[in-house]
Amino acid sequence: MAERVFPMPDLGEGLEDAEIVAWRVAVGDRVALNQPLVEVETAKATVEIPSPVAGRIAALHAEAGATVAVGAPLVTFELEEADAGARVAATPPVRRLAKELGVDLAGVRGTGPGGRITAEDVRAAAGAPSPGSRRVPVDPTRRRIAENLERQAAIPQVTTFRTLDCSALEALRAELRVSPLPIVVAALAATVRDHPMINATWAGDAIEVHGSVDVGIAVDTERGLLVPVLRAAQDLGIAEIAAGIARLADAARAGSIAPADLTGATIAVSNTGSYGSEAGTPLLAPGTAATLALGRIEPRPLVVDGAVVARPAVTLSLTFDHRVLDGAAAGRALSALVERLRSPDRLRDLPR
Amino acid sequence: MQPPEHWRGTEPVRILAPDGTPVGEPDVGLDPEGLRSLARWMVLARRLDRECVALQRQGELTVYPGFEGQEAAQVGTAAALGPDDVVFPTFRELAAALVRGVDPVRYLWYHRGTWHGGPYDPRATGFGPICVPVATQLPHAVGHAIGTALDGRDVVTVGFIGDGATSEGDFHEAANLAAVRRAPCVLVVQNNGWAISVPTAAQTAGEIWRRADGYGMPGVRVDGNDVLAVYRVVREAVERARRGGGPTLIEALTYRIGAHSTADDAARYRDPEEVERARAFDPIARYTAWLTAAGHLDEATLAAWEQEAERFAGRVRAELVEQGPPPDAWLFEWVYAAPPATFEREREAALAALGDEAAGP
Repeated sequence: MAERVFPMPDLGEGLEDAEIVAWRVAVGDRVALNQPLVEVETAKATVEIPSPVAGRIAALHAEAGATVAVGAPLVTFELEEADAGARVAATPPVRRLAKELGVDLAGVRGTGPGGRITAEDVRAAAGAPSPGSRRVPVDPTRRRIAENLERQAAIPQVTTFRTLDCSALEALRAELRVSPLPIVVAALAATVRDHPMINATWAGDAIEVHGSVDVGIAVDTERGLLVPVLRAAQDLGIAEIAAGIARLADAARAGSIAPADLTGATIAVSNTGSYGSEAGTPLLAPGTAATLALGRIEPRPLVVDGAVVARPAVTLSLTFDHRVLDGAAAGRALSALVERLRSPDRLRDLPR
Repeated sequence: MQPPEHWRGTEPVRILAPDGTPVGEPDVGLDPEGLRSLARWMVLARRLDRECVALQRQGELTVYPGFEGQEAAQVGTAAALGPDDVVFPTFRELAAALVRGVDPVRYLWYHRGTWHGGPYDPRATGFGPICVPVATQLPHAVGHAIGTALDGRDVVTVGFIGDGATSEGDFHEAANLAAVRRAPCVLVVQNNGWAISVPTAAQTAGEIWRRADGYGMPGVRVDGNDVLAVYRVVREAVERARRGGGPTLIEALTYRIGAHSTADDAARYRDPEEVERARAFDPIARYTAWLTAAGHLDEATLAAWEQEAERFAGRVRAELVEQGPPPDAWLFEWVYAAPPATFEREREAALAALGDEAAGP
């Protein structure tokens, strides 16, 4: 026979105790659910307490006239077996989880406070491993990035690829003591002169072809991807471009970048090679019709003069707005860029 | 038979006399099935109400405000609404909630000290959150009505209040705004004679329904213990509102058989003989007497409803009790969208002290 101790309930709002006026039952009596047990008087009211269960009275814990604290034992019942098993304590989310995992709560032993079944108990019963997953709240920067990406992803865009032999590029960068990126930016700005449509913006009823090459530079920061803008790259030498990119990247990583420096790109470059990728398929940066991704420069087997040789090489990916450019036009622009970057003579023509 | 004190004055709209004899046109546009369903809901609601009082006495509900005696006012009102209409309740409209399809177990979680306003979905059920601050739900109701009108939606909003709430500023603001904006709403005052321990005579010197004239809208006084009369009066008000005719103030005369809530003892401020006299005006006995005499109800059906009510109360009890106590962590849930650090520290400290699982739903 299971027993259940029924404590003195709080019969008002925040009462501390109640006085027993008269018992309506005696030890040994069988009682029905809601059958009056006892009349008690509180600071607020005289009330009759109905039985919370059907069962037999095993003990009455106070005499008439005694004061019983809220929460102290009032009556102990011996329960019918069916009634004893009927109380399964679990919170609604735990019940939902049990339903999802197909666990019958009646067969689960609760390890929570007061024997309550916890989510862990249910997972253990289901044989499911406790998941290590967690929910990371989305901060405003992440949300803005996500919204931008969703907007950008809606643009019809395709990516075209070329492998670049970097022998000449590597030689120049060693000479100038810069990374490849400023040289690629300078070459891209020079390419725009002959291929103006890669430096354009789809404006719905017109295509805006820009007079200035304002290059968005994708920068990985702790707060996520930012794209600060290097203005008028067509007028800058490689050293100025290198300094400008360094200044913008530092400001972006420090979080001190001005909002004006994050908008208005007319073309963009993403250096996916900086984190080891061979090649990327970038989404168009906002406002641009072309975004170039630069992979990692590493030795590759290239065919030179009919023989396979190891050369430093990189994959360039050009994603373009297909509304602005057809594949042939974009392919010609990328080829022009590649030709410029692999030719020692044409590299030397770039403003230093 | 002596009616309750606060029923004096203007005769209310009435279809059935207290003994069930028709004194008006009983055809309110309901077929026999619809007529029976009003009685069935009242039987189910009363049985559940009594179970809830017992559950509070057993420590399963923290506090509970009973509605015994007010079943007709609530069921008649709720049944007169269209499926998309919306109700803004006080804290005593469980009967109306049942009729509107609110799950009573989720409704009653509120009285187990869980979520403020109750964890049922007010949008899905068209039944607003339980509102304990007196009269605050009435401006909500009127605002909702104005909003649905601006949206061009075909929705009528009902705001319930009690007699005590008509002394609040919120009542005046809501009623005035509703009338001046011709909001598609119905303001239903259940005048049950007592605002906790304050009788209506000590609350207001006039008749509540007459105030409608001052605001510039129709006012109706109805016998709130006559479910047919309540249904007809509310139905007319709802149809007027739906046609663009603006709001109506309805005073439903009823009587609170029980205490204000389980936290007070009505015998300390109210003569128990008054309650015994009021039982002669019981809404369920009156209506089932007429239904039976009209040939729409037999004893077997009534007995079946009572058995159904017994099972219903037992199911609600079982589902409520098996929830266990709410997790301590819920104390801190839904307070802030973005909790400040001080609040997080307080939460951590409290949960560590209570030794509870920290996870909410």
